[in-house]
Amino acid sequence: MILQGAPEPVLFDVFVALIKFVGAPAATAFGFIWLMRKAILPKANGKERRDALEHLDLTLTEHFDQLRRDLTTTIERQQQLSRDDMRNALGTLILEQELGRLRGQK
Amino acid sequence: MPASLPVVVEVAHHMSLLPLVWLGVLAYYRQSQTATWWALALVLSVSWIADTAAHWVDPWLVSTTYPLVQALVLAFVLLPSPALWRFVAALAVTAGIAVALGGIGRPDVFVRTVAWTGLVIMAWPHRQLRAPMAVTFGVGWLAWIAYSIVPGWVTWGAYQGVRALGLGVFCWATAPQLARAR
Repeated sequence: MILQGAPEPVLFDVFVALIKFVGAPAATAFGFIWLMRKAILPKANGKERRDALEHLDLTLTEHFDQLRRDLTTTIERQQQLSRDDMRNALGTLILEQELGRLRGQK
Repeated sequence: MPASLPVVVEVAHHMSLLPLVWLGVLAYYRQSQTATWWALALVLSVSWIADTAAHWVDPWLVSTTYPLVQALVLAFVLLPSPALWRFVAALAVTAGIAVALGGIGRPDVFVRTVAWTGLVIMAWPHRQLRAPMAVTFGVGWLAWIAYSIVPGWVTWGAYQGVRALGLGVFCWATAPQLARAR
């Protein structure tokens, strides 16, 4: 009887090892990517995304409305200031003319 | 075991704090980054907490658990509420399957695969986060698989090298743009 040593690893064993150590983690990763996209993350056309967009739209509208109101107030204040400046200038001019006229009379 | 290994182990432990320190320095010099970057820095620093906890708790338990915590931290920041709870449920099921399948006490691949895949998918829409996430949790995942197949100082060192590279990419991505001198 001829004694035989331990059998050499055959191609099948290498294939099984590859499946176990490389294929299984890769399959898990791809499976979880699929699960995340299908069942966990909000969908592109789903209700959650629509709600989020509506919320964003509302927030942005409120923000820009406030911005417009602030700008309008600022412009009105500046216009008011200009009117006051004009009134002061006119008042000064009339006063100077009146003073000149009074000096001329003397 | 190489003679310089204790130093390397300490460096590998504390380097996880680098992103938080880096963002703190930038904030001190009025170069604050967005909350997303701070969240990612927090995610990366979870491994520092894990390495510290491993002094008192079973290291393999910590090693298996901390990727779940990392994924949870980023999910709390990035995901809207319904998606967040679905993600938490998926992680809980994953942890349950991992314990049922083989228990804890060896380099885990299953939990880490799910948690880190989740991290990368969550961060992917944020274009600026892609590079540090892909290096730390993508290439890092491959390095971890190599370590799980052949556990040893060489594969462990390669894994830590990838982690260090990921931290470097984080700092590079958040560095202020330098203006060329005229």
